[in-house]
Amino acid sequence: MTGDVASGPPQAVHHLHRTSIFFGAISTLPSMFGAIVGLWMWHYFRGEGVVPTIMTSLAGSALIVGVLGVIAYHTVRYYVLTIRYEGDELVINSGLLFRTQRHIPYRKIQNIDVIQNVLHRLFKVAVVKIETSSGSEADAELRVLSLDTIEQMRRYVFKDHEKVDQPDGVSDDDVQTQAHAHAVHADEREILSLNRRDLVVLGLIVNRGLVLVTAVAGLAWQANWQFDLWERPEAAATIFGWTVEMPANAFVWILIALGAVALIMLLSVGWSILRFDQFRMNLRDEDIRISCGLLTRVHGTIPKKRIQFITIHQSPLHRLFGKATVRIETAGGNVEDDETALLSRRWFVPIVDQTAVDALISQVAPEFAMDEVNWQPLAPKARRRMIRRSVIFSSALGIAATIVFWPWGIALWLAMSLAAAAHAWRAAAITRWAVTDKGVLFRNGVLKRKTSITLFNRIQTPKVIETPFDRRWSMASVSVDTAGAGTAGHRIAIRFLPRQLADDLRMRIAKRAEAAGFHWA
Amino acid sequence: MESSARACPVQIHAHRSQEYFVEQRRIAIATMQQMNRESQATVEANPQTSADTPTRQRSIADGAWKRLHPHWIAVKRLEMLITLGILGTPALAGLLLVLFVFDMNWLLRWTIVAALVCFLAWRVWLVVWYPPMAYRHARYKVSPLGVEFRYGVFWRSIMNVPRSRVQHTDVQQGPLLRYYGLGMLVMNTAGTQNAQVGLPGIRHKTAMSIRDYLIQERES
Repeated sequence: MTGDVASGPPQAVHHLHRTSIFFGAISTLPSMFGAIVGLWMWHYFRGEGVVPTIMTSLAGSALIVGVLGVIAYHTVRYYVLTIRYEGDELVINSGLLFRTQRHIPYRKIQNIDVIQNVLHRLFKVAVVKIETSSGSEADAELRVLSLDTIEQMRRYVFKDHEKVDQPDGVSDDDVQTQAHAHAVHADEREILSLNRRDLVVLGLIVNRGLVLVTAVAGLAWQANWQFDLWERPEAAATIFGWTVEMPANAFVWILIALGAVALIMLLSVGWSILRFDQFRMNLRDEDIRISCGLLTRVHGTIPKKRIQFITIHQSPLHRLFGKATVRIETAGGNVEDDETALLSRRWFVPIVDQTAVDALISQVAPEFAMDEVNWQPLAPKARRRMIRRSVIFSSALGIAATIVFWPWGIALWLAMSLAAAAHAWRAAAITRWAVTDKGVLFRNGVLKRKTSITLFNRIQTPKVIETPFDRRWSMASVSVDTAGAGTAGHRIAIRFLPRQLADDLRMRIAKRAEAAGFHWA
Repeated sequence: MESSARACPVQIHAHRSQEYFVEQRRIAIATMQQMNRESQATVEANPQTSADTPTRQRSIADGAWKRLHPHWIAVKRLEMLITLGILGTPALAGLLLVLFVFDMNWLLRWTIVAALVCFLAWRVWLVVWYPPMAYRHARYKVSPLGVEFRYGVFWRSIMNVPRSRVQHTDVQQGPLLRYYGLGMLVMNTAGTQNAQVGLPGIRHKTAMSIRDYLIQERES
């Protein structure tokens, strides 16, 4: 291995791997896909004549020039981009005409995420994203580096924080050729791992195959709108030149429907295995390390101090299988545009046993002892108000249904009102909140139950809101704001609290938040 | 006094409510007392913190509720008037066209007329009556805890911005605010829904003083 961590910085200036030209070129192909398809369609459907031929030639030439330009760009980038270690900084030089020199202090680097798909693993390279505690996106994205270089970078950047423990009898070459970017350390321990059975259950719960149903339904709607295919099912069967006899037997249709449902479930399970195969969550010092993925292997690191908000999700299917999903929100990182960040935040813990949630939370947020939480209910009048509100809203729909489906609409109105009242009754019973010495918790949801936790040193601004309806009932709502909100899919917004209590709660949270302080990293 | 048959469920409900409130108040008071003891201990252990802060800035953080400057009403009125001009002109033109030019079904005509008249009336209300109402319901307080801000006429809010959560501040002054010697203090936090909290309608010098206080206390 080049450079011994203990004796000083590696002397070499590193470049991207040779295959970065290839990987850079193919990464821009999706954006050129539209142009390629457009050109093909133009060529296929164009009319005869000189002008169409010239236009096709020009467009084709422009496309070829574009492709060559992309290859030239990535070739120049390969020669120009350098990485070197200077004192206590990582220095990245890039650009030919517009040159950039980026200095990233080692102590500011929060994590080095590594992404490897099948092609990357074939060439023993990976995409590296270097994140610091600031900014909305990765501070540096290097596509692609060899595994040797990545390992060296990780060892050197984190040398002040880790103790590298290389097993006896294992040569440097053996360590470097292993297809992982996380060095195995003496003090790293596994928090959670998921097997194939867990992933099958996850697939059945999230039911991603419904996306296909939505797409097919959209296509069918469009086809019917354009061709009236529902009126002429035999035409539907001949649209691609096939002739299919539509089955008249209802039993056959039922079998087809069951087959479709089975296919949807299979697709969903396949998605789950593709994304989360060999899911591992390890804890090392103050970092949580996640790795998963069958074809594209993703390795992400989340420093515990960046976790702002934790939410435990339980849909009816989760409860049926005795499982839960945990999502988090973190400070920094543009999660929606970053695949690694999205995976490790939105799917922080894709699935876990219900009974193991408390233990997991205690690992992630040791300050919390879930079994010592003193849950508080809403105000006694809250239930009455929630029921009244639900019945009023459902009645608005019920009146419309009565007018349209007179007189049977009355039964529909009654049923909707009863269902709304029952739902509100249950919601009032389930909704709970708690303020402990360390933070705030909130639980709500009848069908999709959500429990959220945040610490005082993560809370930004507590707020009380009083609507005109709240004033009539002498109630108010309390909400808290944290950094990076969004991915957890839940907020702490405690509604229907007595007015005075809401104010007391706001002041309590504000004082605790100020006393606890706030540090980005 | 209600009959015993009816009094029983009502009294149980009342007692349950009463117990709930009493319990919540007890918890709140106990927590506040504990926090006051903790903060007192912190002040005694660090006597320099307050002494280092200049006297003028300490007077800013007196913990008293203060109103916005009265000139803010005029600023708000002018802003609403400008908006009325921008939005009201096409609305008025549409109203005149619908009334005197376009030929349409009488129900549709008078529905559109009613909608436009309501819209214009609402914008006029925003110019004439809304600014003094908003002024009456707005208060702010600066204390060692941070900044508290009450605002809103119908949907009323009270927000706390703890001192340690202020990442950086801006003092903004548009032409109208500048004419009246006012400014808006914008406190930037790390939050999401409340990433920027603005305190409008205060004197420019006051906004600068609050900003200096927040920075000074943060650095100390």
